[in-house]
Amino acid sequence: MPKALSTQTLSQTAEVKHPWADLVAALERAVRNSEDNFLDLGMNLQKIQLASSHQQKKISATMGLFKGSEQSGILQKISAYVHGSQTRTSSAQLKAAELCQNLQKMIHLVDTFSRKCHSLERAGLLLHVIGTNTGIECARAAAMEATFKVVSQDTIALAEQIRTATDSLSDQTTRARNEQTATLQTANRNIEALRELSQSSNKTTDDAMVKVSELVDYSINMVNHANQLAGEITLGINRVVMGIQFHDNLRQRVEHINHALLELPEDLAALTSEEHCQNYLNVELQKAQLDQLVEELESLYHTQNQALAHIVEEIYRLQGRLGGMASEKHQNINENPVAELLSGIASLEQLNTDSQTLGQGIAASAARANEVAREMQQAIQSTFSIATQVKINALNAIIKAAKFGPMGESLQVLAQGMVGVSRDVRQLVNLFNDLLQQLAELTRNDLGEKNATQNADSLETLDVQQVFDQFAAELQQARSSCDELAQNLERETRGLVFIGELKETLAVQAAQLGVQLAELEPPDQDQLTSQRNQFGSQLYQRYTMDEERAVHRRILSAIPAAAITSAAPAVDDCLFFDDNEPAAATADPSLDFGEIELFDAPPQSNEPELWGAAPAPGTEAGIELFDTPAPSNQRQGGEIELFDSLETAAEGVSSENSAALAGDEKAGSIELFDPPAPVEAQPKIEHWDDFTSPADSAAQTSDAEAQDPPGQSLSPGAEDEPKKATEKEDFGDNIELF
Amino acid sequence: MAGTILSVDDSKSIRQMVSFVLTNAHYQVIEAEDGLDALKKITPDVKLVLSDLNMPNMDGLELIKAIRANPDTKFLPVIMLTTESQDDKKQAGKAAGATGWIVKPFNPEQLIAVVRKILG
Repeated sequence: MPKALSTQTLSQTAEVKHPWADLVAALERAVRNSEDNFLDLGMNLQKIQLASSHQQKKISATMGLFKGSEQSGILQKISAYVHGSQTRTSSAQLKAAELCQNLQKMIHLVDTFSRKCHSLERAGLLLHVIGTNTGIECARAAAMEATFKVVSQDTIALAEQIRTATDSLSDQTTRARNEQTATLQTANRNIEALRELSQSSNKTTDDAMVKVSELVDYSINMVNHANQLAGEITLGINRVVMGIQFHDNLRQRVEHINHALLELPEDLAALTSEEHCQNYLNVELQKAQLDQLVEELESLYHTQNQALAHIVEEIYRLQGRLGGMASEKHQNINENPVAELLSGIASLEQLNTDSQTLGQGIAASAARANEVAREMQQAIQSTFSIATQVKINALNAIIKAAKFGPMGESLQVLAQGMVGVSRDVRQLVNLFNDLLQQLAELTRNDLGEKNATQNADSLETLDVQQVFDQFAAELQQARSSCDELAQNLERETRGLVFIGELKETLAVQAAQLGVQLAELEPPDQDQLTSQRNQFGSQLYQRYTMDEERAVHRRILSAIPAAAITSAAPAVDDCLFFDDNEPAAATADPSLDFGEIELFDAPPQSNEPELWGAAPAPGTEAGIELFDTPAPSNQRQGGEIELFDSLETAAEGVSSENSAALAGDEKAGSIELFDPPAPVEAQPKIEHWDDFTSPADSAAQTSDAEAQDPPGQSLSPGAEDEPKKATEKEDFGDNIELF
Repeated sequence: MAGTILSVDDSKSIRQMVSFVLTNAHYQVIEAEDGLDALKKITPDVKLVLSDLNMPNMDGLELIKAIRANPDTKFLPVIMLTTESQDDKKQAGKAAGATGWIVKPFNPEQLIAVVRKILG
C-alpha cells in the first residue's frame, strides 16, 4: 500500500516538470482549496445540529408542564380542585336542605307551643273566674268575708300574672314562628336557585374541563410529533454532517491518483510496446477514478442540496405544528377553553361560598330561635311559680275553709278549682319545657353546622393561566428557533456551491487527462486487452480504497468476455480482486478476500443517497472494537465485549458460536446503541428515489442489480460472517470493537 | 471534563470534526497531524487515541506499535478511524494492538457512544 505522499514530495516532483506535474498540482490545489470550505460547512452544520438538538430537548420539556408525576401535572391539579369544589358545593347545599328541615320542625314545635299557650290562657281565665266567684261568695260569707276577699284578690292577681305570662309567651312564639317561617321560605328559594346554578355551573365546568383536556391531549400529541420531528431533523443534519467527511475520502483518492500519475515514466518515446500498454492502462485507470470523483461530487452536491432542502421543509413543518399548539384555540376560532375553565372554576367558588352562606344564614336563624327559647324559658318558669303559688293559696283557702265548717264549703269548692287550675298550668309548663327541649336540640345541631367550616384546597387560577401562558411562550420560542435553524440551513445550502465549483475543476482536469489518454492509446489493441487482464494483480497493493477497486472492476466489466477467456491467466496472476477465483488458486491466502463489497459505493451503483449516510444494518463495514489486552483495572472478565456476543433474533446467531469466535462468554452486557433509523421510518431522508426521475431510478436499480450489493464489509470467509453480522450491530455497521 | 482524547489525522477537516463532536460531549481533545506528532503529544492525561491509518511520517500501525512498546502507554486504548475497511487491515491493526476500528465516514453519535464505552 503506498504511503500518502507529502505535499513537499509533490511540490518537488512538480518542479522537475514531470509530464503530469501540472495536472497533479492542479488537482492537489483544488482539493486543498476546498478543504476549508468543507471544514466550515461541517462545523456550521454541527452547530446547527446542536441547536436542533437543544430545541428538541426544549420541546420535550414543555410536556412536563402538563404531564407531571402522579398529581403534579396541571390537569390533575385542576381536575382535583374542580371535583373537590363541586363536592363541597353539593355537600353545603345538602346541609342547607337539612337545616331547612330542622327549621320546619322548629316551626312545628312553635305551632304546638302556640296552641298550648291558648290552653294556658284558658287556665288563666278560669283562675280569674274562680277569683271573681270567690269575690262574689265573700258577700255571703259573713264571718269569712275577709278570707274570701283575700283569696279572691290573690287569685285574681295570680290570674293576671298568668295572663301576662301567656301574652309574653304568645308574643315570643309568634315572633319566632314568623322569623323561622321567613327564613325557611328564603332558604328554600335560595336552595332551589343554587341547585339550578350548581347544575349549570357543573356542566359548564365539566365541559370546559373536557375541552381543556382535549386541548392538553392535543398539545401533548403535537409535542410528541414535534419531538419526533425535531429528532428526525437532528438525525438528518447528522447524516449531512457525515457526508461532509467526503473531503477526506476525496483527498486520499486524489493523492492516490497523483501518486500513480507521478510514478508514470516521463519519457514516453523510450517505452516498449508492452510498457506503452501498461502506461496507457495506468492513465486510463486514473482517468476513470477522476471521472468517478467528478460524478460523486456531482451527486454529493445534489444530494446535500436535497437533504438540506428537505430538512428545511421539515423545520417549517415543525414550525407550523408548533404554531398550532401555541394557540389555545384548536377547534373553534371563537373558543377559549382555558378562559372558560377559569370562569367555571370562579363560578364554582362563588357557588360554594353562596351555599355556605346560606347554611350559615339558616344556622343564624336557629341561633336567634335559641335566644327566644331562653326568653320563653323565663316566662315558663314564672308561670310555673305562679301555678305553684295558686296551689299554695288554694291549700291555704282549703285549710281556712275547713275551719269554718259548712260555711266554708263554697270556699273549698273554689279552692279545689284553683288546685285543678294549678295542676293544669303545671302540666302545661312541663309540656312547654319538653317543647323547649326539642327546640334546643334542633338549634344545637344547626349551630354545630354553622361552626363547622370546610377548609378547601385552593387553586390559584393565576397559576393555571400561567402554565398555559408559559406553554405558549415556550412553543413560540421554539417556533422562533425554527426560523433561525431554517435560515442557517438555507445559508449553508447556498454555500454548497463550492462543491459544484470543485466538481467543475476536477472535470476540467479529467477532460485534460482524457485528451492526453487519447494521445497515449497504443495501436496494438490485442496486446492492450491482454495486458488489461494482468493489470490488477500488479496494482492490488496500491488500491486499498473500495472506490478505487470499484472503478477498476467497472473497467474490467467493460471488457468483452471473449477477450478475457482468450488470455489464460497464470495461476498466480488473478484478476484484480476476482470474486470468482477459487481460494485454492491463490498462492497467498490473504489475497482470498471472498466476497468483496463496495464501501460506500458510488451513487450510480446504489440507490441515490447521501454520501456516508448510515447504511442499513449488517450491510457495510463498520466500527469494531478489538479484545485488546488491557490492564486488569481496565478490563474485568470481558468488560469490553464484542458485538458478536450479542444475540439477535434477526441475525439468528447462536451465543455459542459467537462466544467461540469472540473468545468471550459474557453476552448481552453492551447497551444497544440506537441504530440508524430504518429506511421505512424515514423514507424521505434515507432514500432519495423521491428526488430522482423515474428513468434515473430505473437505471440505478439495474446498475445495483448488475453489481455487488452496496456497502457490505469484506468477509474473510463464510464462517466469519455471523461474527461480522453481530459485531457491528451495537455502535453501527462501520464500528467494531476488538 | 470526562477525559482527554488524542485525535490523530492528517486531514484537518477530520481532526476538527472529531474535536467538535467530542468537545461537545464534554471531552478534552488534543490534535496531532501524524504519528510522530502524536507521540510528542501523548501525556498521562490522554485516555484514548483516535488515529487514522494512512498518514505521512508515521502511519497508524506504526503509531500503535510505538504506543504499545512504551510501558507508560502500553494499555492506552487506540481506535483506528480510517477509510480502510479490508479485513486484513483490521487484522493487522488488531495484531498491532488496536482497540477498535471505525470506518469513515463516522456517525458523530456513534463515535461518542464508542468513546463512552471505552472511557466509561
